[in-house]
Amino acid sequence: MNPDRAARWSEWMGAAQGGDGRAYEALLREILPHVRDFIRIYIPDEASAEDVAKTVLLSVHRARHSYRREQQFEPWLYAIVRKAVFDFRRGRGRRTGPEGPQPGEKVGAEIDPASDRPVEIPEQKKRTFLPKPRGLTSVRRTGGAEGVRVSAGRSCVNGRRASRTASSGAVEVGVEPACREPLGCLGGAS
Amino acid sequence: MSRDSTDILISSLARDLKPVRPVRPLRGEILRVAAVGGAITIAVVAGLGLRPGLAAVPGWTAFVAMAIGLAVFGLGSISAALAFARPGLEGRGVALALGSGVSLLVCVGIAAFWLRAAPSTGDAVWGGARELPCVFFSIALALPAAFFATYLAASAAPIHSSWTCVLTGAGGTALGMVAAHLTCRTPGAWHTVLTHALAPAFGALLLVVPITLMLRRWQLTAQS
Repeated sequence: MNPDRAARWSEWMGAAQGGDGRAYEALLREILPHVRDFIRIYIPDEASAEDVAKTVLLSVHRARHSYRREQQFEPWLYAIVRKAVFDFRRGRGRRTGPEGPQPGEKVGAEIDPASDRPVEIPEQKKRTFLPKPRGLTSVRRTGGAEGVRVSAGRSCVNGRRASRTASSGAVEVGVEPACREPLGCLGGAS
Repeated sequence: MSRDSTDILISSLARDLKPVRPVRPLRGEILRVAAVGGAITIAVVAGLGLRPGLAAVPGWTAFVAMAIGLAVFGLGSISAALAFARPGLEGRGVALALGSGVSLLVCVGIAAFWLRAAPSTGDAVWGGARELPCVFFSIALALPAAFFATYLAASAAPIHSSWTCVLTGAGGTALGMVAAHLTCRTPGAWHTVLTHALAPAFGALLLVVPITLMLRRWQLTAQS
């Protein structure tokens, strides 16, 4: 760590706490490249990394009162950056679901009822399934106009809702691989 | 997102900057929570009196060891919770949490060793529903210190809020248990060791939800 830089950042933050906008702007502009470099280690996608960098700037702004001059600035800053990166990755994990495709499952394919072989789902239809609801790992057709097969990731939590949907005849519900008894944890829907 | 918008964000943050008062030193906040816990302990002991029958061996050593262990664990956990509420002090928070946990274990070990080594006093019974009132009493006594610590944490920047809440619940209950321990009427030498040592874990479980809700509420109030 560069001691001059650390002292300068600490001084600027102290001035910012007193309401000095120029020192604050200088501080934010100087820390930004370091923040971006750190974020890109974990988030290679440039647009997402820039989003997280902005989140960090806002978090620094909101938490600026929690910094004390006798404290080192960089650990304070990087604690906020790590938290923002962690939150982003956790949020992304929630959006995409915790598991990959089921073994032997072709993601994005529907089953042709006549031949019982997978056929590609049109792009427009795929979009209707995305983003996937939390806990669902895949959705695919089994046949008929409305029949779709839903493979659930953490659907045991939402078992009651899933089984009700299944009994309506609109969908057929499968379960996560960890649940060894098919549909048992969903209330015995078949 | 373009970098231009980031530049605009920086300019707007700097333009609308308002002066803020930095948080108080961590040590000062720990002392304030300790003062709240100490005041409650003194008031309860003055009102109810010390646990009767302590003059009998093996009462004193195990009793004092547990009181010290609970006090150290309570203050250490609250300190860790407040450290976790300040960015950059996470390392200190971990050290404080581990240190306070080890202190409690050591004191429990001393007390248990002493009880096992000493001749039986005939009331070394443990278990059953009679253990619970003492635990709930300690949780009730924990509330002022725990909520005050939560307020202090919310006024900082609790970026590790789950750790803050769990440690505040456990530490607050331990501080409440100091007063409950000193005045406890429940018979049984092992009660003062096992039940009183396990109470902070139970308190953390029960208090974590209300503390989390209060932390969020006070954070929103502080930000607005």
